[in-house]
Amino acid sequence: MRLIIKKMIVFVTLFIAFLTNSIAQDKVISGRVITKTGIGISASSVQTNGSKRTALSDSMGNFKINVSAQDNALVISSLGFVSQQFSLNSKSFVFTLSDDPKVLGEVVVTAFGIKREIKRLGYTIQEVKGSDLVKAREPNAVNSLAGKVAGLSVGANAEMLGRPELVLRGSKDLLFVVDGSPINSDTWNISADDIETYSVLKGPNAAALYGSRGINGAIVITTKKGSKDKKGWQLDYNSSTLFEKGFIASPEAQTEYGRGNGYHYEYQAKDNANVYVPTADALYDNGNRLGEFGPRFEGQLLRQYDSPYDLLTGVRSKTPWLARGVNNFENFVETGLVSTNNLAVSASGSNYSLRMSYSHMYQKGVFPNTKLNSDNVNISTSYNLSSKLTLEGNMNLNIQYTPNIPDVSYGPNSYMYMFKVYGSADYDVRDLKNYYKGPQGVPGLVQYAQEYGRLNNPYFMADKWLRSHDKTDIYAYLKLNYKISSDLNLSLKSQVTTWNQSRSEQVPSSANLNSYTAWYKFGWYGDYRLDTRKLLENNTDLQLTYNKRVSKWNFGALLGGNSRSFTYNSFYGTTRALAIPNIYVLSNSVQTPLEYSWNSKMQTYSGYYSVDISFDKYINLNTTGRLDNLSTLPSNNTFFYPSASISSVLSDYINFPKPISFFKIRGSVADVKGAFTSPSIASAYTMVTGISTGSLLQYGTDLISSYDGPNYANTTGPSYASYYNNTPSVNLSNTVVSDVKPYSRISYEAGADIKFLKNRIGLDFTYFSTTNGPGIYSRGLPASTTNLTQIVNGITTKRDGFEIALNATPIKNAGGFTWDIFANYATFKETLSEIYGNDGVLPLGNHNYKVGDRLDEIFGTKFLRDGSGNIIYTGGTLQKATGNNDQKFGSLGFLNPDFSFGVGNKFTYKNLSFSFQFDGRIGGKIYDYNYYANMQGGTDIQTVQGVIGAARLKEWQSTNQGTQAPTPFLLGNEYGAGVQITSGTPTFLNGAISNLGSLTFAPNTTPTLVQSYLTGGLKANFDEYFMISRSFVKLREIVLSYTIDQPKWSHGFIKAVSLSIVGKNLLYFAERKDFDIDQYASGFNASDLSVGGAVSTGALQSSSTRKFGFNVNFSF
Amino acid sequence: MKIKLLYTISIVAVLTMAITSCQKGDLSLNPNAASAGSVLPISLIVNNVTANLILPEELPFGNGSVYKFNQYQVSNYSKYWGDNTYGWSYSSDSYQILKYAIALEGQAKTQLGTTNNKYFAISKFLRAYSAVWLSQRVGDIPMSQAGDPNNITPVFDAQKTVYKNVLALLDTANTIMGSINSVAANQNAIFDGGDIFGLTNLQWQKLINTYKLRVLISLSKRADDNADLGIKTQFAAIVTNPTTYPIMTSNSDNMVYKFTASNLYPNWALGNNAYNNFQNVGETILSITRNNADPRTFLMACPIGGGAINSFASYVGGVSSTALSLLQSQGSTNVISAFNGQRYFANSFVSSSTINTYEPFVFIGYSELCFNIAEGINRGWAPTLTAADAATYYNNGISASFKNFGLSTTANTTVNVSNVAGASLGTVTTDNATFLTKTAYNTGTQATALKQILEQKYVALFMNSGYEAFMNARRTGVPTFSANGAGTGTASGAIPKRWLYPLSEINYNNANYKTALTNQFSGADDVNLDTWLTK
Repeated sequence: MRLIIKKMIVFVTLFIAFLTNSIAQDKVISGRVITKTGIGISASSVQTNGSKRTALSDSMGNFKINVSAQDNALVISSLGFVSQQFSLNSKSFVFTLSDDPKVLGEVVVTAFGIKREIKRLGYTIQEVKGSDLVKAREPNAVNSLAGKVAGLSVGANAEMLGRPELVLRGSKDLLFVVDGSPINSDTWNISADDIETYSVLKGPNAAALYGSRGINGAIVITTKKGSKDKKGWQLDYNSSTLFEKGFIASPEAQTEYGRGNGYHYEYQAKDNANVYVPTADALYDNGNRLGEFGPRFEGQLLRQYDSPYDLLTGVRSKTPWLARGVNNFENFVETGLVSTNNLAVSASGSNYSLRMSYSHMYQKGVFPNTKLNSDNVNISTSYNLSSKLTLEGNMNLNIQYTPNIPDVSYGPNSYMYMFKVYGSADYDVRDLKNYYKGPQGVPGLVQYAQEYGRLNNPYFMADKWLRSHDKTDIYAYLKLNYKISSDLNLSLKSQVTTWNQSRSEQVPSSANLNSYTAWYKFGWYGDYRLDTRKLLENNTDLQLTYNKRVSKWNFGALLGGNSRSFTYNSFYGTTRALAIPNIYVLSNSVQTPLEYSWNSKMQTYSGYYSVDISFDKYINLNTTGRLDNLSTLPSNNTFFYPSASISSVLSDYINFPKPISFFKIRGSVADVKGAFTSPSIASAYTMVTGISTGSLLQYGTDLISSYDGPNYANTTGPSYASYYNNTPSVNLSNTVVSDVKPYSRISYEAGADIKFLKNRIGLDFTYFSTTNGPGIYSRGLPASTTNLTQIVNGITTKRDGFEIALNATPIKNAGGFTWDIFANYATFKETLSEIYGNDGVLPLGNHNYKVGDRLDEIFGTKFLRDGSGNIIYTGGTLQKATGNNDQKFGSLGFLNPDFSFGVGNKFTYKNLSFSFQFDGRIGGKIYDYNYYANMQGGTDIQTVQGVIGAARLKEWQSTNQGTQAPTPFLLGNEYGAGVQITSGTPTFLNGAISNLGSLTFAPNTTPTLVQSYLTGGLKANFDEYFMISRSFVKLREIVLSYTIDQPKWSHGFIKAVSLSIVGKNLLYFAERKDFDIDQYASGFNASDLSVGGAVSTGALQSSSTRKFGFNVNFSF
Repeated sequence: MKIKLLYTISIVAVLTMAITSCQKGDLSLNPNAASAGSVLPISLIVNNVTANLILPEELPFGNGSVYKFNQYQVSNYSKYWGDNTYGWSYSSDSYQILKYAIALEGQAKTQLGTTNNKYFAISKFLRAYSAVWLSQRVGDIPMSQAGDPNNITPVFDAQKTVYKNVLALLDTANTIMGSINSVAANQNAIFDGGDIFGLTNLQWQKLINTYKLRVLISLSKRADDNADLGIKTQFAAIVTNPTTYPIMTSNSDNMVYKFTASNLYPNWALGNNAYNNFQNVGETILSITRNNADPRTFLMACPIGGGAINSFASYVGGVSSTALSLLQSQGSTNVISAFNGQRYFANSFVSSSTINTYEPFVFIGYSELCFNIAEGINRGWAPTLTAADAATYYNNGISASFKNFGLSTTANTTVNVSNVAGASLGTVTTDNATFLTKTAYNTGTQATALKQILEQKYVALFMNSGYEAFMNARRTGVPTFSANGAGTGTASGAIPKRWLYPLSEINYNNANYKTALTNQFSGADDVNLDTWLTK
């Protein structure tokens, strides 16, 4: 047996030797170029040393070349690798290139997945390695980009399944591109472990090739492909476990006073008009909807929810009123968990490559019974059908499922509302664990709760009030690549991105909806809602690429065509009170259920080109163009987007002083257009009626999904509506459409890339100037036209800013110690540069903006003050400005931060590395809705502190233990007692008094009730009070890793092991820490003229948690 | 061979994926809506315009402040019911009513082929109604050029021109309806299935003329110096010629918005709602009913804490101009009256059995008509009618209002007095005689009689008919509204006379807006200035 094998080896060796010999005469040889890790290198240039014949390797790294007698070696070069000469006498035709340390990391993936040398780029792209983001995990992969890219703000959402708010140079709604094709993404379908690199294409210059969808920039993701080592396969296992415990931002609640009204509280039938006269005992206290304005906790005897109740006599005895639930929130929340496991197998051979990866993410929320599961399968494969033809395929399947995710928006469905806005400490939440406890509780029918007006038993909510989410998300492509010649390549690619999502809400029997929902009241049997959405998009691209080097000229061209086909279907339904409890189907409804559907279709044909020309070491020129034909426009539906860029590495031909090792300048311009598509979409109910589900139900928020389809803003016609008693009616459109042109965005960019001290320090500086518009603008019409808006081209803004990115290695010594730093800084300002037609001003929100104004300046109500800054009161209450908007509203500040930054440090010593990152945004203002809600609820800690706290105590003392009306004691507020006008009639301008000279003032002497001040004066009328600084800094992450290559104990079985201890969101610095400002990355957004963080967009915010845990990574 | 097969399979696979997914047809149109020029069932337009004739802000206890402006309702807690201030800013508008009136004409013409049908009659009423609604709030408004798709900057018509056009439109509307109703069978036929008010053809004609009388009376300050408008003669023509100008003859002709299981009573007042504690009945109305020993008092309000339920002294309202902090104290200690929970709230959460027992919402009604006629006669606008006729209308007005409360002026009734939560506090038997004596129409003194008419009209409009109570008080000064307090909320302390123009006219029709201001107020858009109507 052994002999036979030996013979065979000899035979094979001889045969190969013969073959090699014959080739040396004048033959075609096939070879393969690979990296050290075994991945095929595409587009490597292969040249014979004698005859100077050339060939290019294909996507798998394979090539064929004619060699003649004079050739005895091949010179192989490829971007990012050291060029090398390989002797043809070697036994193997697999050539391994090693990474070029000089250009390490200098090749980036640009539009359509084309790899380009940064050196030759005329615009900015910043790349983040996928491997940098898999250790300190986030449930959402995209969140991990926070602070790492200059100009990209990631507003990581604190809610489970919340979508991060991505803002790039001030624009939201970035395009996600995977392996060259756009995908429809809510960011949750991106699996961190399958990603090789993230390239952030900043602004339209970089994304011009994607047409209107790339108008705000793009995140271009390259997935991992098959590879192999000597074994022929590789296996990787990555596991992360993070615990969520403790809050870095959470509102602080007072626990001195409990629920009630006018310092009075009792659990009784109803607080009737005279709150101080007790009414009948009751089993269910369902008439009270109280803020935290009840009695002080002093142990006095009151009838309470858990006081003994005699079912026979209906008498409830009294028990001491004590702060039993000081730690209710902390007792209720649990330790959260994010666990991610990934297993990937890859293999490749001379004519195929394969990678299969499975990830599972499990997240357990901090609130009981909230969880999220996500399974992700990624299969990537490629096969060479022949030397010229390659078939490549990739599929990503993502399935998300959860029986229950929490809701945070203001309303009875929210734990924040329950514990922080109306968080009375009078009950101990742990008493509510048995949520069907008698006498109030009836299993399956009525909950045992602390009250029955506004709040619910939180454990009952956790177990019974369920909001499910199920989503199947797939993106996949097949690509056929035909190498016509060594220079010319043709590919046909068809890609599908599709998802199918279903969300439901089960409102259980006896849930208290606080009379918010019109058809639902206490004692009814629950409610049910269903929201389903389905999206399918196909992109088919035919591309021809050409590369040619002629002496000193390097020429590259891409010519392509695309067909994009889009379909979307959605449904929203709700019962109007369940007829039979606990049966959650739409037909089980007391009144006819409400059901809505909304659908859309779209087809786009595009043609595009890209041409790169470079001459020697002097200049690189790139120009692209794209022609789109959109079905969303009946006419004028074809438009063109050009872009051009130029760059030159000055240091290649100019001698700079020694410390400067590299100097490149670049410049670019692009004109991108957009039209009648929306990046995201709301529920079918909202799309049909124009009213949000939040308004329909009076709680909760509309679910917004990623979309990128037609919004039909330009088509107006009658639609079905019902206004009265379910009778059919019609709704005529209030929009008039002129013949509009697409939205236009022209962007200029210039920059320099300078490296010092043998590339130890790199500094990249970019200046950009973007002209947004004229946009497609929904301009108001006078009501007398009987229409409300006209769609026109109008409103141009100008956005200027700059970004600096620094990379440095201050220490790198032979002993193995390295210190790396990265830092980035970005800033921009946006001003109004042109208004529609002859309109002198742009009315937006409650202000008229003029040319030159910053559009992120917002206006609202402010305290009126006398000449010395004292606040003005009338009859003891805050006086407010009246009249028109210019009179009533003054500036509250700017929404956009002055700048954003990120700083990371990494220390490596041999196998040990330690890194941490700080980032933040400085400047600007934001409306603190938690502050507002908690003050008006009487819960905020500030309501028992200072002047307000002192007055509150005195008022309490005046009520004889809550049995009579309080005497008002609050004079003014924490800013002083204030003044009142004694003569003269004030006039107002910009939210202030404009005729101070003609008024006289005297001290304010009329005290008011604390409750009246908090719920009335302050709450309704003074935005200024709740505008807080938007500045924050976060210690984003800490990672301590230990890596062992080829551990001896595994006898070569394990290639590498890495163990890490990680922490995320560890420290948070901000003026007020009742919510995490980080979530609100967007201020003013030019595309839709929206304002993030303004008074009008305020909503209740979740508390943000600290995460820490560990990561284990094995490579086999 | 194998390779060829693979070639074929892969090419077919990619191409199939690519080709089958192309979309066909005209994709620029919204599949979720009809196209702009579609033919629509007329009854759908009728449905929209009748369902939306009453603006949400005009419904009782809704989100608007109308009934606080009318001083029927006073909030004692800003968080739930807002404050009681008159810090007016931009007016809302009524042009959506015009929009559907135009659509109604368009569809009726297309589908019926005439411009002289009942839908045209109604649309003329709607055009008139829409114009008056806004003009009485702000002054000159775009009317003649409003609603023209080719004109996005309609000029403002002088307020007088607006009223002149309105009177002409209402006359034409009556003429068309008159010819339809000249066929007896048409009279009692339901006007249109889409009409949410369910009125007959004849009732619509009555409504049009009843409304016209409201408009004529609202012009009382201009009746003498604008003979060309023919205010008095038109008034006389209507009240003396019921054949040509039929008017409402009883409550059954009222335009009533019926709350239903799906059109619930305004949300915040729904059922036994805790938020109802945080509002009170206004002292402006209770001072009138209390002084007149008016039996309706028991059904409007709850007695204050400790007050005898049959004593009128127990019914004290909240004073609108009081500082909110004080009202909150008064409300929580029950020294001011809340709304009668049984009448206004307890039955308002509709279950099928109680649909008809809550407060009916009369938008344009017979009772108001009677007072309008009485006022016209009192002012001498109908020379053929006497003070005795005025007294008859006055008494009919009171009687109709009583009926709306489930009371009768001819026989004493036992009524349930309830607290705000709807629990009965006992019963009271009304004493009609005292009331009728106190309010007996003063045929001797015209001015005193006028005040009586206006006061009783104010009482009859309680929590009904939108802004009408405020508009009457603004025109006549009766009753005297509470003002000049910390709760009034205006810089001068006075109640404003008008609203600012709708913001959209200011922003997008600025040149015409400025001309209108110059023509009326020397260039100022000032809420404290009177328009031509009330100067």
